[in-house]
Amino acid sequence: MRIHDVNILLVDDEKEFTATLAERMALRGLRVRCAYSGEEALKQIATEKPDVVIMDVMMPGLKGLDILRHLKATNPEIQVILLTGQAGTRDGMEGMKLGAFDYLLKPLELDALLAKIAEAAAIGGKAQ
Amino acid sequence: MIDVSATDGDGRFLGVVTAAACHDLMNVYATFTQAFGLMEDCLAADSRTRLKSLGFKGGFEHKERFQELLKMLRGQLARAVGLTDALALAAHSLERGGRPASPPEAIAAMLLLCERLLKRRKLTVTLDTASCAADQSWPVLRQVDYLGPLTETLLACLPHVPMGSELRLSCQADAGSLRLVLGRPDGGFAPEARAACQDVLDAVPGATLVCGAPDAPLTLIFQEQPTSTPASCPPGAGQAS
Repeated sequence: MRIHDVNILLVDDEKEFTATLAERMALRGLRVRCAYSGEEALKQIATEKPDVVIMDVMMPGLKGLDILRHLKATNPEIQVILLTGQAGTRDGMEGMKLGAFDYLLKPLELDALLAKIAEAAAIGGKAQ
Repeated sequence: MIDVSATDGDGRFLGVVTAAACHDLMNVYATFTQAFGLMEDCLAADSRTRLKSLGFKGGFEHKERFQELLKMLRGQLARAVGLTDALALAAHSLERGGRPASPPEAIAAMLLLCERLLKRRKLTVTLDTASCAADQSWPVLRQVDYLGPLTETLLACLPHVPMGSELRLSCQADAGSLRLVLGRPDGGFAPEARAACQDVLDAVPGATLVCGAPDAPLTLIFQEQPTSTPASCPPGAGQAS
């Protein structure tokens, strides 16, 4: 399986960021969907299970770490990559303890994210 | 997030609002980064389209200029990210258990934030970390307790150093204390600048200026502090979202 077969869900309340990032990923042929809140993410995950979730830690309503806890309890096979601000390394490390695959600091370059997605999907057996 | 051990009311207020604003600025920069990337993707796609249509005079005629501008914008964005990151670190400097940063990292951030002030006299301050091991253990200090006096010191000596001069700042852990040494690359220091710094540091608690010859480098010592949380701070106070 290639990275293009990985089902990706982007979760961030920053709509412009999320939509632009998704557009760039789609231009590269990746299968990507967007959710703009934690609640919306959970609905989408219930409808179609992603392989990799890329999720901001600090969102209004359901926080990234809350969703991570829920996912690891209900769908532990889904790999989660957290996005955090530079000052949020503590949140990132907390996320790792809760079972996140890794965390990346914002702003991030697409190539770094794609490499991380490939690694995360490989853990789940979905990418080469 | 702001830790509960920040005690100074005004400082806490500034720390909370600055940290929150820096967090949001990083979101803005993240959007810029992706938008620039998408523009570059579009320009690259334009090249591929032109190659496919051999002999067809089309495509985007200002492509090279746009690529230059995008490169320049990315450079400015990196500068903004660096400044905002340093500002975020400063915003957390009141915390005892806050954002992890060693004294050299915190001082480098402070120097970046002060660059504009130092440029008034074209002063260059180089942080010398050659003597710091990667796994160096540092005394437990709030960053503000040494960054504040250090900033005051630099500002005090600014009018007394020659225009365009260079200072070297070294940072060492020394028996439960942090030792900062500021001087010219040749090891000396302007006596007038030293006197001005002495006046400022006399009014700053926590910093000890080591006595020395009038033209000796300036040595500041900051003693390790107790790590207990002040009882006046309620648990969970100052949590920024």
